Amino acid sequence: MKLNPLFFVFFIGCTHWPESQTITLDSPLWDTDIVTLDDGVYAMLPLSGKLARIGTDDTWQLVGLLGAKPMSMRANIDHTQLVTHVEWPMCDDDRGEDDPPIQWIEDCPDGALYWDAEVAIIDAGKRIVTAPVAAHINGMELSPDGTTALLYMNDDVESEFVTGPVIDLSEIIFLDMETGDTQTLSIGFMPQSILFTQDGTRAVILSQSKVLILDMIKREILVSYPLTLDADMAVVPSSAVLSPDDRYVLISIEGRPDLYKLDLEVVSIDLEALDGVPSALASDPLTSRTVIVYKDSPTVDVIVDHTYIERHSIPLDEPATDIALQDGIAVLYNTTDQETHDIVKLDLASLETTEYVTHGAIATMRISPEGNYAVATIRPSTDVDNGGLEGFQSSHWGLAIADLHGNSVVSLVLEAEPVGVELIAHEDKEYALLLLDGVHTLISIDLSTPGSHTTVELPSSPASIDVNPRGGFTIAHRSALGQVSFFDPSSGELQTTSGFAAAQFFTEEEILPRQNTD
Amino acid sequence: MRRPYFPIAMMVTLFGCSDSATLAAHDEDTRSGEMTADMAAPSDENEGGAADMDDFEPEVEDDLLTLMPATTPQYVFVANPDRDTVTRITVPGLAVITTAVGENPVALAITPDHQTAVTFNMTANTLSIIDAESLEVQTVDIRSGRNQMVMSPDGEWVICYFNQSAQESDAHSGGAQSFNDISLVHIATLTHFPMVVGANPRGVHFSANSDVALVIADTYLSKIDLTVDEPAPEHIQIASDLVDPPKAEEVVIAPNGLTAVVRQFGTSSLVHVDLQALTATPLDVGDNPTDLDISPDGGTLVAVARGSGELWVYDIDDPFAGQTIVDLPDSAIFGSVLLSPDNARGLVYSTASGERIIANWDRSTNEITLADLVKPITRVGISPTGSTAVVAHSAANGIDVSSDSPYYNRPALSLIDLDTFFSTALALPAEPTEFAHTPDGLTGFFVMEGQPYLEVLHYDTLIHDEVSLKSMPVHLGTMLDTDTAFVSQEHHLGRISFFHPDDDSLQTITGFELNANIEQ
Repeated sequence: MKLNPLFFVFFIGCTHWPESQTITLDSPLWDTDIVTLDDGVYAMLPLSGKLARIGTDDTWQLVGLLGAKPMSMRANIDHTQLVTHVEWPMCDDDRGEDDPPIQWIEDCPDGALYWDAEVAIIDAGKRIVTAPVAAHINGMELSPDGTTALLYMNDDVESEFVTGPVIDLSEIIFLDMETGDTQTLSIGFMPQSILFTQDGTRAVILSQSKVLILDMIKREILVSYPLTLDADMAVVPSSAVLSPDDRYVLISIEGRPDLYKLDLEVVSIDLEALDGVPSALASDPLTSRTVIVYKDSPTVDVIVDHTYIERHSIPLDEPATDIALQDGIAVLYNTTDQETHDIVKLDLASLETTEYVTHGAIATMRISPEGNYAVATIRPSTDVDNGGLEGFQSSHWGLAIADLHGNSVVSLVLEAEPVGVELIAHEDKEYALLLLDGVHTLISIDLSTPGSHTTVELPSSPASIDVNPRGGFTIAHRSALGQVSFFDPSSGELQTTSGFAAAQFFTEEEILPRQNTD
Repeated sequence: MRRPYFPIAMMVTLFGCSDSATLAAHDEDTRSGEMTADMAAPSDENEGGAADMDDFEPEVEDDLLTLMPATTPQYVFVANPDRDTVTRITVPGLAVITTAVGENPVALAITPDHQTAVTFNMTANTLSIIDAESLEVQTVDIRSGRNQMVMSPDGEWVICYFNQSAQESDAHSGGAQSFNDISLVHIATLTHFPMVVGANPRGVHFSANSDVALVIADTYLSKIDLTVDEPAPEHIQIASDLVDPPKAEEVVIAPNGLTAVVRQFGTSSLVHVDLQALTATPLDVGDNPTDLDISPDGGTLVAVARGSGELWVYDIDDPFAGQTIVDLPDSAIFGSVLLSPDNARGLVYSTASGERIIANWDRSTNEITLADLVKPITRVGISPTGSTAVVAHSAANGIDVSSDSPYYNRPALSLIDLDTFFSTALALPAEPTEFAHTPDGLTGFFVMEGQPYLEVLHYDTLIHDEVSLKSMPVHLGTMLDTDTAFVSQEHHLGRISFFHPDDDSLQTITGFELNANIEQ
């Protein structure tokens, strides 16, 4: 969760500064959207253009990027490496060889300044692999085995990042995560989303009016499926899943009650006329079934045979917009309708449903690791007419815990809006770890006895919580100068590292970091 | 988000026939190319005729159960004129492959060995010869401006001709245009033999052994010997009045291919044609013959003389000798006959008189039994086993349907047990458009205009069931040698459903037209 723009006021007493000076910043020093790897936490420092690696025992370091600034970052598949997209300024210097080289940005002639970019793979704080990737390539999907990344440009990119003499907006880049080798393939359109088969040998590229199947080994286009025969008619995929056997791609379309089924084996297309416009699709490998819910229809469809799209329609009391799957169970819920409070457990084998009614509209919902509980955050009601205890409950954020092996649901009232919820299993029990906005405690709720909870004091207000691959969790705090805590739920220990966000903030780096390097 | 508007293209779906338009009751004489369905009213055409004319229009010979197209045991072929493609659907796997053919494929046929599909691409003036397995396409140019295609029973020949009465038409571009050119094409060698036949050809027929093709026109019957290397037409004059000839409504060919009999509207005789001697001889018949049929065993020719209320029965090998005349009851008008597949009976009725009476003719005893149906008769069919008759009735009430009748102003369908003549009737929301039945004759199917249903008829119990479709049906048929029915439906990207009566399951494929644009 990003911090809202904050105004920071510093009074500095250092000798090289004026005796009193006020600096007002209109954006935070660091981004609380941290990435937790097995070697520490990584945080971007946008104002200084740095990348920090934070460890326990109040240790941290800046990651050397050769002067480049991180634009985005994510973990690799197994959370052992960081993949970051970085950029740096360059000056198109056409002066003579006898002239001294340009070193400072301010010395670069107007119109000659441009930005170069690369993808850097960071391991244990070190930049180990790089690949030149233009700044406008803002989308990335990793193959299931993590060895290859597909990079592409999607609609979210700002036009200012699109630079260069010749731009192919439809290119897709294969990036070898070990060597940094890249291979570019022009696919003729901007991808909207990418799926992989479970074995990672094929990628499904979805876009407006077309779907491509890529061979991930040969890095070439295998099949191109049209979604329409009319070039003037846009068919925009809203969501897509692969059938559990990876044979079919099921695609729902924005604004239309059509489900496209692309057969990857016997290359063909089939359409299924649904009873409404789907809001979510999900495929369960355990039961080999696909679930479809509709925002405007109180029905859930379960595809039991993908060959002929044999569907079973099950009525619901209220429409559902989202699906969570785990161990052959689908949990359906609605996150858009303020008046819909249901959580529905659907057993995908028996197609039996169990309904749980929460006390308010659902904001988020997750299933516990062992599949025993569905935990939902409840949004406060906009209806302010309710009084008494009911009004108190409905006017606050809440937490609903549904017992998926029974039919009970417990509703808790929260002091503030949740900013992070994590579910863990520990010693035959399952817990919800809860962070509330502005509340300096980490709350641990035993899901089997939701009425009781324990707390751990936090040094400051939390912003987000992340799972630590080494066990435990990391918590980013709303601390101006940077603060991250490492929490071990087995011991209850909390270690905090602070102050990394101000690193090199005061350094005026106007240098062209890579101007005169090969 | 504004919902996109998809104009629904009326897809004409045509299916390959393993043997071109074989009639259930006419195994020996293959009739191809409708001649009678769209005939004009006879009143202004009978100026030179000698028969006593009634005031009724010609009978409409439209045997219900032979309208169904056939398929191969494995595949359904669907032609889409809008996309200039043919789609092959494998059953039961429902694998779909589409291939491009010529522009505007309006007709499709499959050879009886199921190895080849042929499309008639009307706008392109070509035939596409398609290997059913590989879908490899070869193209043959034909005479421009033709609008009908007929395949010989052995699947070796195709004739394309211009039928003035046909619904299919295409604007002719260019200069002079001939309406009595035909294109004879040998499928295996892709050889095209253009030739000229009599003016205003009304139909093309092949002998059962495919040795002879006949093109019937009002003035001439053109015979084409298909056994020679260079087929050429031989013209036989069949009308004495070449200026204002009577309309040739119907022709039947003897099983041995040596003779043919032509029926002309409003005359008092048939025309017997010796195809070897190339001569035409009048053949006696009662007044105003309105229908001709050959018995399923090929040995008998039956004519209905509507004017005199008689059935004339001839020995096909020597029709001039020993004719049997069966008087029909004078309580009703009869103009059509349909013979059962087992040769045991015939149904005699009229589609033009507005009467509701149908007669059961016992061919062994010549006994006639009458039955009253719910409405006037439009079309009649008999199940393959000969046990059940299916009779279609239009919404028109005819002469004596009471306004109290539940069928008043509604189309209807009657099922008749031909052993007992027990019948039941269904009131329909719309006219049936196509019929089909399973090879075992136990189940029939039909679809109706503008109704998203597949109707299932159980011939043994006379019970019907209804299966909902996702969109309006276009064409209906059954898979060869199986009990699976298929029905194509309206959808801008193509839709076809397969119904299995053994478990009442319906499987639908939609969007198969997209398959033509899949790139691999």
